[in-house]
Amino acid sequence: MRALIAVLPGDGVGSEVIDESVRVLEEVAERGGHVFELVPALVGGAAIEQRGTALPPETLDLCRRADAMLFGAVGGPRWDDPRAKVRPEQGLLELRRTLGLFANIRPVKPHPRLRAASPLKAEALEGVDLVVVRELTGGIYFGEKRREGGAAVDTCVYTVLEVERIVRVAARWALQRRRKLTSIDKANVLETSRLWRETASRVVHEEFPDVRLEHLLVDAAAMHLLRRPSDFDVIVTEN
Amino acid sequence: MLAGSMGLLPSASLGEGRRGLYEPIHGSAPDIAGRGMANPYAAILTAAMLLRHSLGLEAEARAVEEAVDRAIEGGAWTADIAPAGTRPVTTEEAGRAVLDQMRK
Repeated sequence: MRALIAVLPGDGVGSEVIDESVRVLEEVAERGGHVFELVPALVGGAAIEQRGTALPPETLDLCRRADAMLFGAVGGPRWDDPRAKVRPEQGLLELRRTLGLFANIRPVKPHPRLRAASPLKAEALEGVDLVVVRELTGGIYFGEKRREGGAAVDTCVYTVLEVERIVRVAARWALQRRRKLTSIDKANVLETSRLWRETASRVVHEEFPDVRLEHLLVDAAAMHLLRRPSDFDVIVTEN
Repeated sequence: MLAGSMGLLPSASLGEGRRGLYEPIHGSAPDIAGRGMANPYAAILTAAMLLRHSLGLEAEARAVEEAVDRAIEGGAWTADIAPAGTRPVTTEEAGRAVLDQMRK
């Protein structure tokens, strides 16, 4: 097959680790007779240095045309001033928003040889195989932010539609796996969490009867993840 | 934390279509940048997710993941995962260990 892949190494170790994954993609292409057009572009601090913005228009244009984007990392002490107008992280947030990338998928499956590297007991890691599905374009990251005299305000907003679509993504993952879905929120305190919880229950009940859904408060979830991580299959949560 | 190092975890950011943005979950790690000691496995596993979800190349994705597993099995450990008393491999050496496994 032919594919256009945007390569965005960004800052710090980004370019070092992306070099290695590019080599692997080239090997895959060669062995499988595929043609991968791997086109590098600037993003983050590197883009600020050379172009004065974290997401130059030519990078965004490339990403719009690409089949996929391989991204390293952004940020570093050179651009850490919180008062700065342009910040490396804007590049990534802007890409997610403009391209509608609302579902962040993070698989976690510890390698048996590396159990000693984890701070958890080796026996607790037995059988751990989970996927975190994080909503990525809503919530407190994207709500209105302002200063009012001596106070600061961040706004957390979720719509029913935003919750429905991320829960559907997570439930589809669960169907491919052990069919267990854990939704994590703070419904004892936050109104957005209460909307989240009732919407998740409805979507799973009506559209995914084969998926078992449980709700956990974020505090309890943190504890259970350390105590019994192998009980988790797919986790869905807000940004 | 569970996996033992941030240097092992990939991620995908997806929308309604097949296009996705793939990135290791670790950040730019300025403290170790430029020293050739970063763990490339997260970035390589990220490429495997790209093959699977945006390009539909499941067999190729699995081959990459298995090559990473075997490279780790074979002791190609970067500084973040190397047990005390062993010599850690460099970023490039870890990458080469994966390529070697893919060619076997």
